[in-house]
Amino acid sequence: MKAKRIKTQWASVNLAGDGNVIVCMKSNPDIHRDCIHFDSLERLKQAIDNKRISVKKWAVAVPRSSCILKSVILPASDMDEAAKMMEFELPSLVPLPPDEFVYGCTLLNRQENMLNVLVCILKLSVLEEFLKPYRAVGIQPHRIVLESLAINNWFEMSGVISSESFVSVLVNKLGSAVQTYIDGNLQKASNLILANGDITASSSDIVEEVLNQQEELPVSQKDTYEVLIAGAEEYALEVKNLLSSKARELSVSDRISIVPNPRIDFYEQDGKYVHDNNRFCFETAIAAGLLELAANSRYPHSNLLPQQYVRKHERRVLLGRYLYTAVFSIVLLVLVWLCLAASNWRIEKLSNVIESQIVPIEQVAGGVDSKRQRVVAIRRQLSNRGQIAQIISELYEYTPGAISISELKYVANQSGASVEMKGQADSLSAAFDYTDAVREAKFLHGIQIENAQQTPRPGGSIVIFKAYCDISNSDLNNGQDKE
Amino acid sequence: MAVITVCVVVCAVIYIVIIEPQLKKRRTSLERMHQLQLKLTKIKGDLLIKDCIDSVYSQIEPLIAGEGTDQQEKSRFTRELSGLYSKLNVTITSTTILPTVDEQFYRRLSAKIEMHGHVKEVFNFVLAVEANRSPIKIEQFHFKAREIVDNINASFLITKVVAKPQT
Repeated sequence: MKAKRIKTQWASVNLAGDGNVIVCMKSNPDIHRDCIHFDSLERLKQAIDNKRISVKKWAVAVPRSSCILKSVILPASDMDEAAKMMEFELPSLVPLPPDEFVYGCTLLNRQENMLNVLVCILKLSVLEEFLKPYRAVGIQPHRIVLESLAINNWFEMSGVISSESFVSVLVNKLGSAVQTYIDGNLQKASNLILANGDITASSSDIVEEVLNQQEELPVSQKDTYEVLIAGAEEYALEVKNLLSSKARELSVSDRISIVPNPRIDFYEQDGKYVHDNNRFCFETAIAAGLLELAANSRYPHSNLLPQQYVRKHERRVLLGRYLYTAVFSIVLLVLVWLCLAASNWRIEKLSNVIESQIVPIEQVAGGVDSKRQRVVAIRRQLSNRGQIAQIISELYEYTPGAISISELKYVANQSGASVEMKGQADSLSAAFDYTDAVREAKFLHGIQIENAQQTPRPGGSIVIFKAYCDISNSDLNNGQDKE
Repeated sequence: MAVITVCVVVCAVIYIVIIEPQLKKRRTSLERMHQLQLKLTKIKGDLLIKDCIDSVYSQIEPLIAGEGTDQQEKSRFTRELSGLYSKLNVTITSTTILPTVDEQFYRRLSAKIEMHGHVKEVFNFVLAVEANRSPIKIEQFHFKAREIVDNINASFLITKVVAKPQT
């Protein structure tokens, strides 16, 4: 297969005991996963340096033998709460200062309001020693988990499980991992070192361990649990046959399955990949399970990454975000500035166009405005010609004999004109009848009596009144038209 | 908190140094453009009515023509008014020339006249003003009866429009 460049967000790496390295990664959404086998860490370093592999985040699995596993029952409703409580439980579990170890926890089982939690404790010095070879090739992991969890995850995603409880067997010529799960949670894990090459003896040891672990299963699970076997083909078949014969009386023989091994490509010296599924490596299943576990953030509280690295990573992420925000802000600012500058340029251009249209006609139209305003002014001056004479004439014509006018005030305004008058009448009724008397008048038909006051005089009384009339422009124009 | 403060300060500085000048320039440019658009519309409108205005103006030009200074025009206005009431049997009690109002293209002269006399003579004065060829106008008047029969006190505010001298 032609060598390809692989760029991925998450990859898992697992260093085998014989120096081989397995790297699993999701290089393409269409491909489920790619596992690549490297002869040595040097070869992996070479691939990384040559940019054949570009990984953002690495995940590694620590062996079961490096960790101290403890089971703790906590009064917590969920794992978030349990993880917080665990901090206070740790001093009673390990006789070490808190800065000398790291821990992670996963759920074992739930008992009403209590959670049974499996705590994985790892000495910091052991972890540093474990990570040394990875760091030597430039791998700084973002996720460190117990390998048993990775194996559990790999079996779960293999797609052959039909029961929530199962015993898994992962085997090759060097060793075997036998693990029991109830309701998908790891209950027991043991690693066996096998007699190299003796398939029958090794298989017998494995079957014995399986039977031991199934003995510890709750009674309710004994009729439903499954046994899943994966690994080197000859070992897997031998274990299955042996287990089938021994387990017949336990009625589990029909629930024993062999899980297909993960696909693996071998990275050759010339940078090409060669596919060979017969060369199964125990660590491949761990790396494959680890990748899924890390990429899908399963078992969030099981991360054994020391807090200092977490904080360093968080700081780096924060810095990256600040940088991204700053760059984005600058780009946004430049865009806003450019938009405004372009808008201003466009307005200026439009203004210049208008100005160029104005210049040639400005001189021609220059005198029109002054003439127009003078015409308007003269029209206004001459607008009420004859109206005052007409108003006086109407006063003479329509004012009854019982009324005499003593004062008359006329004011021309924007809306027309207003007329105020004071007068005397023989009686109140004569005063108020004045409005009826002028009803036929063209200008004064709207006269209103504002105030009328009867005053006693020798030999009778007189009524003094005030009247008001608004003459609108339309009245004035109508009057002129009628004229 | 410190980060937020720094962000706010940086944003404010950037706004003041980079954005605000552009916005200010935009406001000025827009204002100028609107003024020019208005001017262009007005000029176009003026051009459309130019012939009509020219024709009307040629008719009223003799009425509004006034090449003299303010004092000269006031003197002419006063003469015109005295010419109107001198032939009538009224007594002028006061004539006040009010300050000239300067419009953009013409001047407005105003005078306040107070008189008393027979009501018929006062009305004759009104008729004389209204019949005058000159663009004079009675803006306000106030008639008040006197104790003598048919005699009234009258006050008038009279205005006249005169063109500004061409420079």
